[in-house]
Amino acid sequence: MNSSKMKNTLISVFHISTVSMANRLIYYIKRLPLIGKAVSDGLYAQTELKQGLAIVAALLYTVYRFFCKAVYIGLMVAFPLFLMAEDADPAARGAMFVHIFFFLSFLAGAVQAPKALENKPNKYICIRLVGMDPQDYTLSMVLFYHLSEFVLFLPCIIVGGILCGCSWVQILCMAISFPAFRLMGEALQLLIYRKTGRVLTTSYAIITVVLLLGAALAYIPTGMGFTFGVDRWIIGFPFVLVPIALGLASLRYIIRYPGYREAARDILIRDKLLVDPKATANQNRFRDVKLRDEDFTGENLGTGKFQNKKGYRYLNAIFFQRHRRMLTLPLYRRLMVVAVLFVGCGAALLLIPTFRPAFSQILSQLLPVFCFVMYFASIGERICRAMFYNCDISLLRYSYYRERKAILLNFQIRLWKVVQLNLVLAAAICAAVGGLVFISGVYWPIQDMIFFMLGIIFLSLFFSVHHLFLYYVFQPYTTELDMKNPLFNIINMVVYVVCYMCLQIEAVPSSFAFIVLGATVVYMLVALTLVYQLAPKNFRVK
Amino acid sequence: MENQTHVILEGIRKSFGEKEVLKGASFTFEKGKIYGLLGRNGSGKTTLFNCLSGDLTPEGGQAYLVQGEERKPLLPEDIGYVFATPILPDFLTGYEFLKFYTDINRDKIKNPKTIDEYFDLVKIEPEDRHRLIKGYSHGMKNKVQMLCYIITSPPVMLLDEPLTSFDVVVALEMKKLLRDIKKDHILIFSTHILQLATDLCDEIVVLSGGQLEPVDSSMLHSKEFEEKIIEILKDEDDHEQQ
Repeated sequence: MNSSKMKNTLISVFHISTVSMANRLIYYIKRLPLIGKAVSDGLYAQTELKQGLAIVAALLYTVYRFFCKAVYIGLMVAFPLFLMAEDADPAARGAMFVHIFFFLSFLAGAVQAPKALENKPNKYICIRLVGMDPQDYTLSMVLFYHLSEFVLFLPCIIVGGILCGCSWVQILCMAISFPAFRLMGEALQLLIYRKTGRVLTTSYAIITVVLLLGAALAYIPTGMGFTFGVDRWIIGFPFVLVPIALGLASLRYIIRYPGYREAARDILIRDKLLVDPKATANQNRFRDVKLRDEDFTGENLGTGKFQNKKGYRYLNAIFFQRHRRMLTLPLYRRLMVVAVLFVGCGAALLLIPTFRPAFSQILSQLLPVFCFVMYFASIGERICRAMFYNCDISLLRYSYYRERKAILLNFQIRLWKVVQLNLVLAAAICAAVGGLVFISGVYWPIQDMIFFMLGIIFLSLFFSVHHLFLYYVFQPYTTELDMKNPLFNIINMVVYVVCYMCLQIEAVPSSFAFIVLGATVVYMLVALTLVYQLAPKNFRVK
Repeated sequence: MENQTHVILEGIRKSFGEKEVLKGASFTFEKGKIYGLLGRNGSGKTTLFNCLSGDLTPEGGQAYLVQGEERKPLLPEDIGYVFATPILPDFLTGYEFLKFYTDINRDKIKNPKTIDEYFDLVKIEPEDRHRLIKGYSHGMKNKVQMLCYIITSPPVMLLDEPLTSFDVVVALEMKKLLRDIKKDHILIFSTHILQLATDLCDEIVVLSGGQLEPVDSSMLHSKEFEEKIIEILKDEDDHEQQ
């Protein structure tokens, strides 16, 4: 492919991707409160203005990429280096910089997602929809990508290297061998793809192993104060000539690679790729509540296990049965944690007498901690998303499901189920703490114990109500799985912050249990009233 | 006519942003007839249905249900709405969904049958009844949806492009079924397929320029009918420009 052809391909690609960025920018501006209303749809047709916007978008994106690289070198290489080798002399520190950067970026980074085999919306648009030549497109993008990576990384390598005490030779060697290793990674992946038809980096297991291995090789030796002499034996002169030669060979392989057309045909499959990134993000919000085949295994769908139930009770009984992975299984896991902690602490209290005074101290601090723990331990948020995604999103289309009576009955059944599950956990926590007090023989005033247990029970009721209340009163999700209601997030945030602040309390006032009881009761009363007042009107698919 | 049931639409208006889709649509539909609502893509057929079913709130106008002497606003529960893309809860089997549906609508069902009898009615095979809806084809889901309204028999049934997803055999079954139930209902179905409309409908209503216009039903099977419809629909462009 000659250079003018490549230039044309690149210009077309940038035109498409920046215009789509500009469109997206307009789309988001239109959604802003106040300003958005003033922007008319006509803006999409203002080609000249959009070209300006497109250039701004492209510049912003470049700055963003550069910023990411600077932050990466700062956080992943320089910062740990200063933590581990603050007192080391500059030369040793320079060698460590090379070492960490080499294992993270040259090795682990080089086998990250190959550009030539990526499956991205823009590539799909250019090749499948616009009909660009896959060979031209892929090669142009691969070469441009590696060139831009090199250009953007270069200043970061130089500045980072100088600050961390690298010599000029080390910096120069890093700079020239960096693209060589990246090209080797790309060529290696192409080679594997050609031989096996598989893209290595689509396997999360392989990515995880490579990343962990890279991180281990980067940090463990430096943490122990030595390096493998990467700066001398691999990318030091004259050995650096080997990676450079291999890099050039890789470049030649990439340029002459004949299979981009076939690769594009096999990789760019529409089903595996959601062209709209927003839709992908929205899908992800519900990924963990999607029903899987194993949710139904072992269940005979034909027999009427719940045949004696009727209407909404029947519907919910089946719903809970098929969502046990999101309801009862998490409860079992939490009960296991309580059991393990109980056995561990019990053993410690029996075997290590010095632990007892500490335990007695902890008891008085326990309720504030549990305000925060119960926030995470309660079942509610996820099951509400499952209710929406697997059930309500479809049934809310029907008028009978939106009737006041139906909504409230459904709410009661669901609340009761969630309350039951959370109360089991609360009871287990109360029993475990009570058991530990009994085992240790520590003195705990009976009224303190009662208030603690009431506190736990009310917290579990509180969080059961909290999530369902938010869901029924604000129903923030749309049919596009978008989230629309800012109040939903604000209330959730406030509750989180309050729970977190409880964790920070140092001297627990004696009235804390009363405050918890009072606050949870008031919140629940308000929430339930609001559900009965507002849910019949608000519980809709937006 | 005194004991007849009608649905009267009076000046239904709805716009999205600057675009006015329904500009005071008015019409009277009678029981016992199948109405074909014809309109070009984007003419507002689904919008009109959504306004009637309560999924959208119209900005103006009102729909009434007249039963004998009594005239009252048309409510969502008077309507069975079969969506173009059937929407059913995936986690249930067809059988379970119908059981749930018949349970909660028990008081609306005049001659209750067993669930299997209902399935027989739309020819869903016994082995499919206890499969998850998740695995149902588009056509099967549509059958289940239609079956729901056959069970509860609301006075008005809206069908949004219902037969386009069926294969020829099922489409024929469904046509027969619609003809069987039409005497007790006001059936309105939207389509942009002219042949389907002439084939099945007793009356044709054209939605064009945000207004509803009747087409002389005596022309329904005449040669000029097609040309006439095309003429009306083409006029829409002129409406838009005015």
